[in-house]
Amino acid sequence: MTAVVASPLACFAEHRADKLKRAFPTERPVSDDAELLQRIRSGAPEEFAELVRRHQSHVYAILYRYERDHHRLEDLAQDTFLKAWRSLEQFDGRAPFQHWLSKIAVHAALDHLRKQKRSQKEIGFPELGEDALEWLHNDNKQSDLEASQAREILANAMRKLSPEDQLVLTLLEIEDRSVKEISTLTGWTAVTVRVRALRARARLKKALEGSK
Amino acid sequence: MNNRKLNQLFNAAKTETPAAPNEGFAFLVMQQIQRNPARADLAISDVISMWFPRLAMVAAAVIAICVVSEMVFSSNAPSLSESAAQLSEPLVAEN
Repeated sequence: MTAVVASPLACFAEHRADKLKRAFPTERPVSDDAELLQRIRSGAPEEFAELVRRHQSHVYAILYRYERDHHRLEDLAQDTFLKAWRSLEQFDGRAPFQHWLSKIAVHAALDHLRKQKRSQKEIGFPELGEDALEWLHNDNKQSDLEASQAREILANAMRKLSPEDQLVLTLLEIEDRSVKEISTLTGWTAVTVRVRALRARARLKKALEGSK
Repeated sequence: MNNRKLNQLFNAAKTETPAAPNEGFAFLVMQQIQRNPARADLAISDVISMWFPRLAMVAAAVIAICVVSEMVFSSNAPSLSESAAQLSEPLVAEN
């Protein structure tokens, strides 16, 4: 009789234990950033490494548009994560962590461009290939330029612009971000973004014409 | 420089493959953090901006309650002209 009664009880206990185990596994993988951040805040700073691993490619993808040298790019990315670490308390979790990190990366890129601009002296247009020069000279030329040459031309012309112009053109024209997104990332109003983009485009055209 | 050419330059830049971080990148970041682990404390402005939408809503609710209660209480009370007339009544009677 006891065995008959104990059996459903044991079954129930086993089922309950299984349910609890599934709900609170002892070593479960951390699924989202919010949980990782919670752990960091409650005294596990080493968990920040996992956040870095998760978002390092995204940060690199933002920053490599502004710095081509691999070592300087690495410094810039490190600087972005350090800034994120130092101001982690300001992250309120209303937006995804990646959006917040993107903002920090964009501001780090802008600071970097400003520093570069200050230390920059005369910017000469370096030697372009004959094809590239011909392409630049002739507005009616239909042939397509090689992608690497086109990038070279654009990078050189962009360096002649102000850091803000470089940033807005990169975000709008190259990364295809919306005005609203740029406004969120930079902290500029939507009107400022539009006006800046329009003027930057005109200045870029001028810089390209001047490079002929 | 026409727009077609300019867009051609932008399109070429779009196709560029981003540089990938080195394998030990996270380790390097953690090393930097260990050297200087201090995290910035929250400034009052940060706390306010963190609480901003809630604080603003509470403030709006308090203002609304004040306005409504003022309207309710003033509807039962005598109007300003009635009060003035009441005050001046003894003076007029004296004269």
